Amino acid sequence: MSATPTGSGRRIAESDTGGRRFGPLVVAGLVAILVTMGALALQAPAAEQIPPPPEAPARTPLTVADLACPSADSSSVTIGSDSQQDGEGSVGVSTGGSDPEPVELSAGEATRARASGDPVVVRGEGALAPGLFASRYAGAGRAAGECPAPTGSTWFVGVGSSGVHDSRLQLTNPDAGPAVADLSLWSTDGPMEEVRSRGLTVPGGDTTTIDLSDLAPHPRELAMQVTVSRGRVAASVLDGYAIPGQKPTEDWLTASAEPATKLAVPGLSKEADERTLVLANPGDTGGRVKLRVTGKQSTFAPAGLEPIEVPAGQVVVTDLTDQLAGALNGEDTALELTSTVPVTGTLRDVVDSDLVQLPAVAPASGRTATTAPEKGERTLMLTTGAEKGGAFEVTFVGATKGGDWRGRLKPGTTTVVEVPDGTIAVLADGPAPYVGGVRTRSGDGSSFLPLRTLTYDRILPKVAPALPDE
Amino acid sequence: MTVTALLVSHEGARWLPAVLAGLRDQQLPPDRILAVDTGSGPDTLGLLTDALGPDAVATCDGHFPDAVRQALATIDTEWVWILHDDANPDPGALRELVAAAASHDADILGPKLREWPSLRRLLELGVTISATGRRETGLERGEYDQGQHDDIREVLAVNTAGMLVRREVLERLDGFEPELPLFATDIDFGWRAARAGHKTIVVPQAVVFHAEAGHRGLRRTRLMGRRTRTHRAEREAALFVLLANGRRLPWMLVRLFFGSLVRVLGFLLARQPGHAADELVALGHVYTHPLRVRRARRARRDVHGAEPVDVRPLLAPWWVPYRHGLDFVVDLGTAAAMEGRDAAERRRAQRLAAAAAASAGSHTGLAEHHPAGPDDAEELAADSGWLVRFVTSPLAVVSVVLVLLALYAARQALHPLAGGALSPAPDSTSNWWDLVLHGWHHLGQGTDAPDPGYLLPFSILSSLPFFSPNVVVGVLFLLAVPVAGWGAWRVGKVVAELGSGREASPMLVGWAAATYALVPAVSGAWGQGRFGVVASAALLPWLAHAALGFVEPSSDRRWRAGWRCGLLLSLITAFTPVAWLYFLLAVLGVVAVGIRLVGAPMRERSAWGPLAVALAAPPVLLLPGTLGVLGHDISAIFLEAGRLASTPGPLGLLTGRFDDYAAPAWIGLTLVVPAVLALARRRSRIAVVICWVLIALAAVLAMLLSRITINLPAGDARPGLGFLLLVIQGALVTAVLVAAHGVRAELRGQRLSWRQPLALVLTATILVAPIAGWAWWLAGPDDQLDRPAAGDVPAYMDQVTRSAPGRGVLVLDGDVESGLTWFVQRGDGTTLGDDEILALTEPDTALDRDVAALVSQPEPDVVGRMSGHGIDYIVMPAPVDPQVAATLDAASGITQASAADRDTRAWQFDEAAPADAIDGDGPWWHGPLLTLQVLAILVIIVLCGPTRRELR
Repeated sequence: MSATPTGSGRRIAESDTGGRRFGPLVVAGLVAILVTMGALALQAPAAEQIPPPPEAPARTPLTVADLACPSADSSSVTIGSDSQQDGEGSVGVSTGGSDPEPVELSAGEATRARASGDPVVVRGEGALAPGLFASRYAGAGRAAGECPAPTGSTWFVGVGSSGVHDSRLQLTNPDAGPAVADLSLWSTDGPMEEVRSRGLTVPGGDTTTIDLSDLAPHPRELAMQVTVSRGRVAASVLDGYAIPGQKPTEDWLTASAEPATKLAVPGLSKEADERTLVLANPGDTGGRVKLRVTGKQSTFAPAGLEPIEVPAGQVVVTDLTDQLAGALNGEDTALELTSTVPVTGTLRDVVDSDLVQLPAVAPASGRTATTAPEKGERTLMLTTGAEKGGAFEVTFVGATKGGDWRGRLKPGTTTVVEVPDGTIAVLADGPAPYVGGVRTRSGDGSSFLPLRTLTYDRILPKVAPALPDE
Repeated sequence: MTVTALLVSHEGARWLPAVLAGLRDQQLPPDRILAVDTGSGPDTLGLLTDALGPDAVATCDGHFPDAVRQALATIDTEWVWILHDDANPDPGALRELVAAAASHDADILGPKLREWPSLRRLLELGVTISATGRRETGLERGEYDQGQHDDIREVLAVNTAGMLVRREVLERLDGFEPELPLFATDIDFGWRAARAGHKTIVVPQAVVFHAEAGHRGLRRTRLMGRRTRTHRAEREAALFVLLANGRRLPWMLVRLFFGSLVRVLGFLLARQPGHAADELVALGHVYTHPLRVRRARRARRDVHGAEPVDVRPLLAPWWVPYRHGLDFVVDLGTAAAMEGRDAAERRRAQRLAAAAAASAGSHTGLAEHHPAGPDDAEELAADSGWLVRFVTSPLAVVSVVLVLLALYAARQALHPLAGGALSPAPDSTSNWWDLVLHGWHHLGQGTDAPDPGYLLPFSILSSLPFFSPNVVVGVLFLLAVPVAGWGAWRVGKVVAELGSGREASPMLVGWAAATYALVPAVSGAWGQGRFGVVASAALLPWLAHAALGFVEPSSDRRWRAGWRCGLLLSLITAFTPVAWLYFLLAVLGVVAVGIRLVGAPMRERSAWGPLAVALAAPPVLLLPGTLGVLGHDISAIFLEAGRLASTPGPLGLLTGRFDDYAAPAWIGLTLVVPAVLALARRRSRIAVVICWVLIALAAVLAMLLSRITINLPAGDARPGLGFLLLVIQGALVTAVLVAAHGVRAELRGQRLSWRQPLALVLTATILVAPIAGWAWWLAGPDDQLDRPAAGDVPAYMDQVTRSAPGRGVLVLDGDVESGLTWFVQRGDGTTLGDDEILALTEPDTALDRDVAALVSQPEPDVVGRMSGHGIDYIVMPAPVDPQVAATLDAASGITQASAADRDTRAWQFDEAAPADAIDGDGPWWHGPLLTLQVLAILVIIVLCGPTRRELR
């Protein structure tokens, strides 16, 4: 080989040391390769930078609760508070933004307070705010309406805007500043586009009443969603029927549940002259709703009860009188709705020529409550879901005797409990998903108020600073 | 016509015999010869006395002017012929001069001066001075005498060597200026004579050979202690001459002052600080002795009276100084361009020499192997036009095609970009300058976290005319791939020669350049907006090229390599800081291995000094950031530029892919196997082993860094591994490049065995990477870059936030179930350069508490405090959580504000935030450190420059 020149590194390529087959250089190279592979194997895998952790919100007991009661002929409001908090609390009733008049109430109790016939706002503060609920009655239990809390979205199925069946929407704003609500309407022909996004402003502390027949006249039943885009608004609907040849009646239409695939309609009475199921499918796809009846012993699908097709964006009115005529066996039952697409609805019973509106309710477990009127034959109906039963406990607030009821309910059954005298409010608690309500029957007519889940906590969202990534 | 020859000597024993012989051999002998010696040794005196007789020789204690004055007293002839002791007259010199004196009406005559050693090169034919004080001869340097300047003409002055002057003129002008003992004596005399009305002509027929001893510094006089101080004395003399003889003194004072400063700058740029210092000292010396100038001017006024003759036609034209400046700049540029050429010439010469040595005993005959490389091609076709050369060189055509393709594939960068790790660019350059120059930034709630290091070069680039921040980002993304390819080509050629010992094959180097150039694109860095990795990819080959200078034999080149590496490493570190850590480990390894293998030479300062300089440069050149990050989490140094992005996993490092928006990973694997097999090639083994050692170092460092978690105030992050990915890919390409050289030549003559198919397979394998990569990139894959989207914040709020930094918008996102996140938008939002600062900033806990209270229970005092935090508006983009919206609606002190669309909610606080809500003071050391950083950058840029050939 040629002599190896010394000096600059330029010559190293021609030097001798690379010549041997497994000389130190090859070893060095192989070692380097092995070290590389080893280091790569030991390296931590690819990592995303700072994944944002989702954090569940904290919950603290409510300190302020507002309920808005619609206008009524009567002059009383039934108020109850299922609070477990100790401490100071107060409940007041105010009309039209005026100062609230205090109401005597203690935690876990209910009372009937005096109030004007105008729409009123019931405000609970301090220890009485958690678990606040209220309702109003008209007649001797003929008509019952709940006082809802302001919420972002409310559904009413089965409102009308024709001359015969006219509904009036009452929007109450309990805060000082103005609030804005939007209405969306669906009819049997599809969504009513031209009345979408109305942007109805409700001044602070005030109530706005909207006549649907002025807003969106339509001969048949409608479904309506009230969404609040600004501020807080509580919505109630007064249904008026002016059937020719009969006395015009007015009743409150209870809000139905948010569209879901599994709903239940509690409170079907043993006999009814007419039963009409109004279903609304606000989504983009059509679906099919299967109906089952939850009776005393079991849940069954009566022969002849066909599934109902609900096209997209439409309201479907089905007359179930004949189909359910003999199927109920003289029991108080509930209707179970299973749908392929989210739907909501209301069942309209005509009992003794009085209209009873039964809303669809989403089953939930836990504590629920409702009120009972002063007069009339009052029964509590509890319907469990088909999967699970359990031990249920009912407290009749204000009952002179027999204030507690305990029972083990089988899944998929409807249980009827007599409401003892003196009861002002009913509190129910159960481990399994259930629906229920208090039915009142009197000479004037019947009414039904469903059991509603109470709000005890305020959700405090977890707040964290973020790196801007957009 | 009587002539006395006056010979002034000073230690001229070397040339004196020849001069004396020349005097003796004159065709027209002078009537008398006088010699004055200004302080030589006894041998000079002895020579003179022997030749001329003792009474013709006198001694003088002063300098040249004093000697002449002393001799003038004893001269009574009409003419005096002055000679130096290194000026040897041609035999016909005096005759011609006297003949010209008779025929022309001149008082001073000068001969043609030719260079003594060569005897044919022209030195001077009369001399004049330019407005900046430079001695102008009107001749080219080293011009041969071909009779081109043989006309007798009038000039401003002639050199005192060989000057024939009337005695009465000498007496009238009182001899030569005593303040100018050595330099510019002749110019001053000629100028004075011309103003007094005397005519000076040059007689080219008379020839004197001058050794230019005093000028070239070969003479050791009392004035010149050291050779190098001629420049200062020259300059001082020139300034004095201009000031003493010039017409408008105030104007000249100003002009010479600023002109000297410009010359100082020029010397600094040319890396001659000694000359720059000389200029300043000369300037100072002349300007601090105004009385000398005044005395000189008064003396001249006495001589020429109130109306001196206008000598402007005899002075150099006004444009001469500017032409010299232009020459200087062109010189610098040429030297820079010629840099690589010099290195290539050296290498090729050495290679040919080695080939000649080897071909004596080898049978491959490399000497006959004359590949048509680009050097040869350029040489052969040196006479053809550049267009012909371009079109006939396939290499040039291919590279231009590839560059155009790269520009086409990156055409998205022609419009403003944002996305992935790239935040949108700010509206104007002043945003960036604010971040750089101020220690306190109006971001978030006001922060003093350091700004990222790359903002300074970005700001400077963006301040150029026609540039703006968007243009800077666009240029970066457009040109990254071509610049990476160019750099890879340059370094590939050198590495291929060094590593394989053969001449670099243009195809292989072209393959390497095409493969490496694509790495920023196919790795997904381009598509994900990782501009830090993209910039580092473009700069890495240039750093490698500079780092190759560390193995140069010349110490000067090694130091220059150190400065260059330092500068480039600082730039790369500004984008991907892990580079510095890697370089540190590599240098430590190199020094350790070097000391072990080579021993003593490695310990020399010129061996490890440049490495240390390259290492120490980045912390100094990125100063405010280096120090500033110490106050925050120090491991945050290793975050890449841009928004936080994911780090690649082990397979990603090996195949050169970040996770998304990258070319298919299997393409990257096609380089690994050939790189492993490259170990088998004997000749290139060392280079391949070095490459693999670099890869191993990068992998080990990646492993260590991937285990480190950086605790940022906003969460956890990992160091960016982008630079290590680039190094691994570059080293793989280099290993294959080096090993593939000579495969074809070796296999050509051999018989068919397993080698040929293996070589074919490997060739096909390595071609997959560039071809598939280019195809993938040209097909226009998905990426995260797009035009910056309009934010959720409405336009009128944008205007308010831009008007004052204290007025911000609180943006809430999320919902109640999974938690809300908030940030405050100020100015023009979070733009390029803001992310790193915000990532280091501690979140304001007071504001966090207040925002939490605001969304759940907005009490009036909470609302009132928000204006103190510098927040004017709240915006919640869609989907809006109804509970939070309702809470904010119900709060007092907040009113609804209009938003861009129905789904976005916005509120306004009734109390407006003051404009200085988030003002604060930056750290006190920011200003000084910034100044230090700028100075260091200037110094290192000058030190990096190429050397100009010394002119003197």
